[in-house]
Amino acid sequence: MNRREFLRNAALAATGSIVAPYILPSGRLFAQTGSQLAQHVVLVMCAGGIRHQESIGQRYLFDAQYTYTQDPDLLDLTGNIMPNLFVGSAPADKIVYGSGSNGQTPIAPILGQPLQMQGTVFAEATAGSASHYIGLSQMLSGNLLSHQGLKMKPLTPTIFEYVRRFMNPQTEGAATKVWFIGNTIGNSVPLLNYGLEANYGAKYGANFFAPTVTFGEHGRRFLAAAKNYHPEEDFGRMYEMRNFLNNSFLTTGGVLESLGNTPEEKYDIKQFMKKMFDADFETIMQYVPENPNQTGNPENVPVINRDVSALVYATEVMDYFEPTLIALNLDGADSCHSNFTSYLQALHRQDYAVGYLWNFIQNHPVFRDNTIMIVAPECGRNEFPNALKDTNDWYAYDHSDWNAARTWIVMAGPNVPQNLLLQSPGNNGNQPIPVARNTQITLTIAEILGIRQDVANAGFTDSQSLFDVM
Amino acid sequence: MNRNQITFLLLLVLLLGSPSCKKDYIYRYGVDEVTATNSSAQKGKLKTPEQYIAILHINLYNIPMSSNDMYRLGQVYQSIGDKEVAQEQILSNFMNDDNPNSYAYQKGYAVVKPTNAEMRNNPDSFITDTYNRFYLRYPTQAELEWWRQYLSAHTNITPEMVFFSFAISNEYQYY
Repeated sequence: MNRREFLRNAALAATGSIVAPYILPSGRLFAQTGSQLAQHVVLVMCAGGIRHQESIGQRYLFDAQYTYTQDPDLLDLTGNIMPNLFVGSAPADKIVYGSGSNGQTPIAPILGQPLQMQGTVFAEATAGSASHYIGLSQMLSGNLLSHQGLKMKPLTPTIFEYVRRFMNPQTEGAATKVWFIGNTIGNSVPLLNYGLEANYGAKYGANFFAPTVTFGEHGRRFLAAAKNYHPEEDFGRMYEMRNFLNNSFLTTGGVLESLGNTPEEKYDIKQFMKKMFDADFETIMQYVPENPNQTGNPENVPVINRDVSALVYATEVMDYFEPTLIALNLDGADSCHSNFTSYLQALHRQDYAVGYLWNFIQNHPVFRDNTIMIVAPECGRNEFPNALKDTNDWYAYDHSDWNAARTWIVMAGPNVPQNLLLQSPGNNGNQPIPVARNTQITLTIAEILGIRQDVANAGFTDSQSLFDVM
Repeated sequence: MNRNQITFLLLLVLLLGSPSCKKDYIYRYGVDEVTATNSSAQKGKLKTPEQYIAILHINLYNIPMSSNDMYRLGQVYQSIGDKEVAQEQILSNFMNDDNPNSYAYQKGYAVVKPTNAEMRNNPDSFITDTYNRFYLRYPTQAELEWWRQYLSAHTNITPEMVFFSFAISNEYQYY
């Protein structure tokens, strides 16, 4: 029995979940075609462009700075700054990526064992793109999207649409069971919750929040004091009147695109928002350790940045909605364009955020032993620096060359082999040969959720999933 | 043409082109008042988030929103995937003008709306005004009739609820 057959059989035994047919409201017979490897999938896009060298490569300041500055203090200064993800010792000197004064104190790993040991690592993957937005689109649509433009929705369907279209629309495929959380509304991130392909689109799209905005200062100012209309007596009537107005407009106007949340789901979303506004920020972030002695110190580098904050809010979404699929976008590492020190701090916090999330999953009754998490950068960064230096006199990096397409993928959870490291076979000192592609993530999620055949038949995705290359 | 003829022609041109003693007329221009209305058939362009917010603000408070606030609220709007939820949440806040924590209260704005009694005493006027206010058009006879009956049958409907339904309707999303 090969690994693939083993995985399939294990999944069948574990879940026993050949899903029963279901009659759609339209009268069409709905029947999920495959068995599920897990009931929930969490995709963490460690975005912002992460260099292979400082992340999985654990080269810290040696490759990126010594090579160009010849500072003897940086000679051979390597080490792992992502201890929740990867196995490896921390750098011995020049610690700037942590918290506290000047970032000198590394954030204690939250996981007892790095994810690398708990799952499978594809150590050399390719993004197929050196761009943030295209990279994110590729991960979500499983397609190289060679004609994709910026500031426009993905041209082909996203995994969100596949899940909602091919899973039971009243349970796992319901609108509030599919979420996309962005740490920002920049870089066109809000456009990624559904694509433009006919027969898919908004009605199968994911719900979206950018929590640092939605629940941030401005969100509180404009949304927190919402009037508490009764869902039936008030909203029921208002929808009745609205429906009359919409019917009148039908003859001359159009129908707006809608995510298709039912009135009950919309009410749930509003209740969730109320819950977030009722709780103060400190309460929501209470499990993230900040050094209290550093408060007020201008040199303090806090643990909570935009990525950590967005991710903690994402766990609130998970706790409330128990989604089948949730994808998270973290992009703090993009500061690398002008500030290498800040980039190292962002990497360390993305790692902390991933650890926080996996810890949350393992301690949650709904998600524990029932969730597969996939973590990957959307693209890498250049081999050579640009001309900008930060306050430590360290060079910054953009993303446009071959090195910017280098990524890695980590996957953990039920039915995922543990402690499996898939490395590049090498290439005689040339550009390393990847063992996986970011575009394989979409079909991997489909396979985990038992809809691989449906998604493959749609014809828009990479033909392989990550399970195929294990 | 000899020299005399040329001289004569030049004199003639000079004479005709010289200023005459004509009376200066004083033109006065004015603008006749015309009520401009729209037709739902002409509404084919979707409002941007900023346009929706700015127009909603004016329609509710009769006061334009500051550009800073419009930009910030535009960002908040974009941060919510379900635009129906986003609009309903923004409206729920705009309507909450007597809550000290609300944007409207802090700005000193109040939704300009008739009382319930005023609406019920003259429903035709209320309906026509509401169509003009939110849709920039008059209601058709069929629409007017529907609203008369609806308001008469549902005594718990308030002007605020009617405004809310207009502001979340599809026609209001277009211009």
